[in-house]
Amino acid sequence: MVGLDYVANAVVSGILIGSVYSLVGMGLALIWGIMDVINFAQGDYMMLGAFVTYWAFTLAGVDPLLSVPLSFLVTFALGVLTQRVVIERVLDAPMVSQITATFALLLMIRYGAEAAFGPYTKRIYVPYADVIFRFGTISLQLPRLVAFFVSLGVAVAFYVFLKTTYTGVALRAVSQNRMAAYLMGINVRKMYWIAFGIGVGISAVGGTLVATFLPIHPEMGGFYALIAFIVVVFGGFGSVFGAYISGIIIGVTESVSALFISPSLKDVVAFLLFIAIILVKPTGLFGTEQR
Amino acid sequence: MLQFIKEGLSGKNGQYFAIVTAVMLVAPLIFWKLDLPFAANAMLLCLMFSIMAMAWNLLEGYTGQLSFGHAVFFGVGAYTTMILMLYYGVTPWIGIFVGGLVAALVGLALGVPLFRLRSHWFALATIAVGEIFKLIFISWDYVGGSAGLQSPIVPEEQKLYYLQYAGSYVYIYLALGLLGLELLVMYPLVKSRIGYYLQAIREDEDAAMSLGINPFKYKMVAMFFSALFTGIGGGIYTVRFRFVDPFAVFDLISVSVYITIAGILGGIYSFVGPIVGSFVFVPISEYVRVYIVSRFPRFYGLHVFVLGVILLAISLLAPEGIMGWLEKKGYLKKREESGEVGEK
Amino acid sequence: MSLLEVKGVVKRFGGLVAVNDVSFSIDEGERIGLIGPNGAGKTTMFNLISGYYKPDKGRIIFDGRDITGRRPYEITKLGVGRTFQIVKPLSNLTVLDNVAIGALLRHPDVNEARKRAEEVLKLTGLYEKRNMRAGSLNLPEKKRLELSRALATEPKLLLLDEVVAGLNPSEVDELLKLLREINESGVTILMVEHVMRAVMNISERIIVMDYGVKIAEGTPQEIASDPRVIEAYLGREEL
Repeated sequence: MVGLDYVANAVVSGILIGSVYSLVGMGLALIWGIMDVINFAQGDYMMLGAFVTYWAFTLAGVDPLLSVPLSFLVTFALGVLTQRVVIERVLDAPMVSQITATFALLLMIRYGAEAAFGPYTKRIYVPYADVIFRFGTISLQLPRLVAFFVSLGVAVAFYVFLKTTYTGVALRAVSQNRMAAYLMGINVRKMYWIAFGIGVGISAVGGTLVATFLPIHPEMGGFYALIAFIVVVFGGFGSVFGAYISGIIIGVTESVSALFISPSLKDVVAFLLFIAIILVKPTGLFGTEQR
Repeated sequence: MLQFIKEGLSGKNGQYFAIVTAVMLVAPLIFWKLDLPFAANAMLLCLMFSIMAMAWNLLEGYTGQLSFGHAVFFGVGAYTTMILMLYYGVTPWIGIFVGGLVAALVGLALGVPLFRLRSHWFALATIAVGEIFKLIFISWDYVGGSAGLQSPIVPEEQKLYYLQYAGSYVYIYLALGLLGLELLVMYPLVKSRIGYYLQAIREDEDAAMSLGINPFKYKMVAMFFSALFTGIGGGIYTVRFRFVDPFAVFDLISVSVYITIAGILGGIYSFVGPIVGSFVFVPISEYVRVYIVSRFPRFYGLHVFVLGVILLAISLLAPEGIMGWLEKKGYLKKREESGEVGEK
Repeated sequence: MSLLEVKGVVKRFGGLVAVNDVSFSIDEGERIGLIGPNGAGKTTMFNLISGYYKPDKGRIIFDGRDITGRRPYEITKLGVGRTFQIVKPLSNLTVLDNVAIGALLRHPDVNEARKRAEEVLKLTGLYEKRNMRAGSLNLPEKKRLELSRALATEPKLLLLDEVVAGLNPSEVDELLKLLREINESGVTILMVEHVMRAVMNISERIIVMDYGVKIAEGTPQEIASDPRVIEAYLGREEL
């Protein structure tokens, strides 16, 4: 029987890593919620964020935490570009074009990065990488703890943005009723740019955070994309913050189940869970309407 | 059934078909004489993907179910053929078809839960299923686990029995024969009531139901044949390469996505689109992979990047693929009958 | 014996009762109108009869068979055809193919089905456009296509959901004439309509629903002067 200590530690570390999953998932939920587009390349924008941080750290000695705004802005810009050049054109196209377009983006970003940066795993070693806090039997690595708080901060900032700024309110209006928003003078097209930009930008912040305590690789996006899908499906499509909470839950689930199941089987369980959820309850836990 | 085939081969179509067939039959001989292994390998791959993309398109172009998981059927077919050969000494002449059948049954089993899902979710679920199979086969000792299975070289007198020959040349004829068989089966199928019903399902499931069509039943029919021929493609892989492992045969990118790109590039609303797509994109991808990536491993991934660019270009500029574009520009006779869909 | 019997049918969506204990019957050969203000539950009723919804209570008997809860394709096979309020053409297929798919139900041979489809198209006036892509038709033509497709399944009962909506008066008259012909050839018709002129004109009997309940039933004259019907429409759509 696995000791309670192990479980407690697993729960805590699950929460910490879950906070990263939450960011990637939140971005996916935002894009889905506003534009009804499923961004297959979500994980790969995250990877870009991780690599921006890597290069900033390696080439200019920029502390990863300071590169959070940098990776957000760079990826935001890329996201807006993507929306203008690609997504916009397939918004009204048949589903197969939407799916293949975003899948094509996945291929281009992931393997373009691999061809450009090399198929190598890279690591960042932050000065505080080995600092560990201990509370009784629970140990917390500082980078992960920091990541958790930054993630929380981003989520809070995003919440404030949605509730109080004009753009935020406009975004919410567009997600509820595109036509009404348009009739009220909201530039829906620009809102879509912003939504996609923020959606992938937040994901990139997740990448930045992950880079501080895990190795990164151009193909890392695949794993996080899967997690993001599970997070969004589990947490419900109407709800961006449901996605945040769901990310934490998924993180804990993954961490705890790693104690009992072998690693490769754990992935099988994750995939099966995903299929089970979309079969049984496509609106997720917090979801509102059927889309 | 014969009537459909006769109709399909009449006039211009029949001429094109005859010319293309003649070229395909002669090309391997030329490659062999001139010692061009790259060309032969590429042609074999083109044919294999033709077989599988045609099969895949039964589900997508005709029924509207986009699958990113056809690697499952490919892998199951490949493994079945290998296991029958290696453990039970069964000749691949039979094993390939058994492999296809097993893949078809797997397809039916998957169809039961998955056909409830709408477009995006179906596509995502097929990706998940592909990964599940890969992971299961990695952990499964009977099929060799992560190391896979390899069949040994057999003595001269058993070469025909085990279909073991050097190079791709002989296998090209095998693939041509199987492709021909597939066309023989699929063409009457899509021209018949089943073909019409599948397209109705693709266009509007509710409307289809109001016309007496049971969508699930026909999706299963499409799935059966789609998985069957993809599994047969896997069998060809086994005899040519004599080595199967889960990372290769269940791979999302180099199998499932390749198949999807071949179909979409060629044109999902065209009967022979997937074949055209395969013959266009496989050589490009292989060229990049063999001449650039292998020589400069630093640039690994470039061949897939190129694929992504092609897929993006198609999605944005020519969603109906090469055949759709050709038809729009008037190079092809406008199709009036069904079995091939009307143009957008 | 009636062709269609609806007995005590109830349908709820969450807390909302869309159809509340509705009963009526239709005899073979009749032309029946089903009217009521918006939200009365008419299209829900259609969806219940044609199998797209399952009743929570009650029974639906068609041609002597209990079809309650059966799937739409089974019900079509038994002889119920329908059109949809928001037209559903099979856009990427030709007009002929659309109708041929309907004909394939009774004539599995493709050539036979196409011949039948051509006959139907001649009847409904779309024969000249038979090789056009269905998605490129205008709305009145698409409605005719819906009708043609349903006819091709050789139904005993035809459910028409707002089939004249959006047509100008002369188009309406043409369609009504066609419907009379179809009815005379033996097809029973049940039509949901908002265009009062059309419904009053063609129906032998009218059923009126409001808030999911049947509030009146009778000849067009009886309905037009029924105080309950008038009250139901007061303040809503014009009569």
